Amino acid sequence: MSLLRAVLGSRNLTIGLVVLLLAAGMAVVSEFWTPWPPYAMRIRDKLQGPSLAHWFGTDNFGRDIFSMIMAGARNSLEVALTAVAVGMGLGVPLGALAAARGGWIDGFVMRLSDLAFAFPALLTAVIVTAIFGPSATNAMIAIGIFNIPVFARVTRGAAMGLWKRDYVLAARCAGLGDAAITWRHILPNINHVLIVQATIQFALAVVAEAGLSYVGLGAQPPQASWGKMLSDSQTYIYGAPHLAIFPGLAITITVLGLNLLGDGLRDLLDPRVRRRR
Amino acid sequence: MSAPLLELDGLTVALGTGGVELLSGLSLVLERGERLGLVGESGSGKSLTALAIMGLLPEQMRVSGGLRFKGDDLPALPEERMRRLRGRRIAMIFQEPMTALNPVMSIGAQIAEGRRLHLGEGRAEAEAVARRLLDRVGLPGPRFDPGLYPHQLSGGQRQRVMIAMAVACGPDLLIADEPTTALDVTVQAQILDLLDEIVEETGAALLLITHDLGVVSETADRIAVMYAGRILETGPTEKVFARMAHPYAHGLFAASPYGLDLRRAPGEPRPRLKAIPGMVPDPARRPAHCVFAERCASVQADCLRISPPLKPLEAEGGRWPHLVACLHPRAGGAAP
Repeated sequence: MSLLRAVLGSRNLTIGLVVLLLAAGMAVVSEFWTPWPPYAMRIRDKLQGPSLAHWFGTDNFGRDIFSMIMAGARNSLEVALTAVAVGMGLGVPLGALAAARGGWIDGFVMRLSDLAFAFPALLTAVIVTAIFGPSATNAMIAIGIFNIPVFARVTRGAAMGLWKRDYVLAARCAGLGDAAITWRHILPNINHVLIVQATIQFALAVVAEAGLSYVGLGAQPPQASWGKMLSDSQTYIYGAPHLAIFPGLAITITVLGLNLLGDGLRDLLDPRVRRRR
Repeated sequence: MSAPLLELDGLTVALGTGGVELLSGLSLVLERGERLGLVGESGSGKSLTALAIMGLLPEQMRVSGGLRFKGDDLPALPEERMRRLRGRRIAMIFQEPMTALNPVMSIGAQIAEGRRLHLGEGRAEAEAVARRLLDRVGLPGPRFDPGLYPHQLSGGQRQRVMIAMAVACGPDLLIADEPTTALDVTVQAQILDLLDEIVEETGAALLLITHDLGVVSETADRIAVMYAGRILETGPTEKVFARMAHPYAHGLFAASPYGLDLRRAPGEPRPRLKAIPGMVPDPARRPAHCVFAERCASVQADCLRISPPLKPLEAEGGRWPHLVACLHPRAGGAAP
């Protein structure tokens, strides 16, 4: 219960969690129910403004924008979640290894990540999708690859300082090896850094997915995607601004919520703040 | 006679291939149940000696000479076997209890860690032992729950946790590197008493590293005075305190309020503390003659020619002779 109180006690965390739960809830519900079928075109109803029937209005094909945003939420979160999972799954072990062993292993891992960093994120994604073809799956892989060096660096940087700490020396004196020290002493001490980084990368991945879909390298029609909706709305921006406003707001609010969540988690996960009695 | 618990036989630690000697020919023997105080000022190589025994010296340092634990040559042991000794047979207590505990791990889990690793106990079993150990080191429940985190404890309480961690697996040798330096004076005495009791109970050997003469006089059976990587004087604590044959040992005593008080007749006014002039020589520029000659008040011509070996002061000696590395040891009486 003290955890619940801690969550409610932090405004950032509350807002962030509510936004994330809303987005995730929309994504899940969209699997079973949307106000209108998100992919059904009704040309007769095209470009309507918001109304009771169509809460966010309709697009140039008469599709219900609210329904599309619900379906798009699923796409955005799925891509972002996978991308972060790929980045953490490979980046954290690499960074931890570099910090634990140092020497040429450290150099090798870091130069490799420099190489990956040398290409702008979008370019990496364009290369991947150009090789494997544009699709939501390849967008996940592309964004995930970009995330690997980010997590490798953050993990290494945070872990390096800890390896010089007395309690790591004490752990060595207790007979622990490098792997056990990393698992039991290093990672628990940097997990707050990683979780905060994960929420930031999650937010960036949502934007990256929107960007890739915007240029046509992400989700393919008719699959709904916030970025794709934005790019489709350009032609109608003066006549029907709601086509751009609602997906734009969806992206903005989700990213803002994730950032607030990251801030709130950072405060919550620091034991020096949490367990004071 | 079986091999001694810990035997340093001319232990030398040098830096890299350049061969700058940080420790030069240390010889010590430590048996179970004994308390040996290793005294010296900063930079004399006390902590380095501890790390050498633990096998945790930085990679650039080369160890030569004998360093045996129960007859095993430690520097020759593979890392795998060394790891099984650390924490299990040889345990260490650190100077800084504020930083030597993992801030995000409960103290119970940290105490239990060694038992789970070395004795293969399960979590519940090891944490029950942790509970008992906390009681033993003077942190009784329910006030001191194993689920507490280090930041919820004071410095003295954390040092008690460190002691519980160190003795968790029942080690044969306990190395305490300045265990009381970071603590309040009132707490220091309690921690020393606790260490003393624990050694008494478990029969472990204690290697107490400190610069505080009060600490050694209370705790150690024997002391070894270190300077510039060498032992200059060693012997039973009372004998060393009574004579202070090496001018450095005497200087160290005269420079400490404790050493001075010990020698002061009742009613006498308190004399000023005497600092030893000069500084510990740079390891790269240690002289070939007596390392203390440059700072010694009673230096003579032959001190600048040879480096004196440790020699017994008295003919009979006993089990632990009083040894001193000085050509002109001071006569009895330690009045400054």
